Amino acid sequence: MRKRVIAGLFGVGFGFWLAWTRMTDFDQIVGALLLQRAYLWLMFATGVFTTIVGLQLLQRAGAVTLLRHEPVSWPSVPPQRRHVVGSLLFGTGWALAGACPGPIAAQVGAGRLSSLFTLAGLLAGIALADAWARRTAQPRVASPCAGEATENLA
Amino acid sequence: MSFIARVCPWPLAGLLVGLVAVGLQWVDNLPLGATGAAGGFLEWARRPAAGAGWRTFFFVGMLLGGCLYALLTHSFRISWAYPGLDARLGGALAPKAALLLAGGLLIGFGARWAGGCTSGHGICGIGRLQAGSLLATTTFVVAAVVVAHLVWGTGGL
Repeated sequence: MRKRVIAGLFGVGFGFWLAWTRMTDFDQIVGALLLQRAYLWLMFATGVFTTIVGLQLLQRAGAVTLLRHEPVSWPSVPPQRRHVVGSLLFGTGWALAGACPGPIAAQVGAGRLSSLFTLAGLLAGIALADAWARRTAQPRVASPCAGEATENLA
Repeated sequence: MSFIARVCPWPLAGLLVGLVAVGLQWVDNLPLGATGAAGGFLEWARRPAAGAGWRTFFFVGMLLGGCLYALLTHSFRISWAYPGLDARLGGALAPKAALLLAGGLLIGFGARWAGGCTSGHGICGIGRLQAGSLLATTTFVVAAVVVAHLVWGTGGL
């Protein structure tokens, strides 16, 4: 239960952050994709840099996780065809809707009813990908950060 | 209050999202990823009896976080308006709904198939120095830049 409560609090912080940084604004995203606004790219570079430094520090210091005292570690993710195929589709949708999965949730939370359409599409798309992965018996993909299409295969 | 109401300065914004990714890792080796969170929420919605996992909690947290920001900055409105997109589509609901639904489908299917989205591959996966995440991120950024220019650029839709 502790893990879920902590994850929920991180989710609140992340949702708040998405609204504060205007990742929930169509013009902020499309402006970045049209290479007219630098904000998203500068923030993204800083975020990746912070994460790399933080994770390397944790690992090199031999840190253990706070909840179960296990070594800090993560699975390796070698490049695969589906990284390209899936990302081509995702990038297209991102540009069309001007939103990605996190901001869609934060928009709905702010009372934006139109975003219920994006949310419905998002959830249906995930369900379709999972169903397709099951049908075609895709081999289990080591996924970095969630969103494995085959995650729930028995 | 006014500091929160203005857009977060980008150096602070980058630092904060990095701390979210590093914090989740430190807590229990958890990956930051909004698509995985939405997938977890979907599993729970389909089979509530199986219970809600940490991803479901994270997803609901994102909704509440967006709500909290809107309430604190007095910008919470229950409305069909979609600023930015309305200016380009004329504000009628039907074309907007069709575009957002189609976009959402591509986002959900594509990100799930690729094993992550902007947060999962972009921040968390590259932060973990994973080549697959770098490939995915490069691909969706290039695809999005090209499609945005085709659809929303001068001479676009």
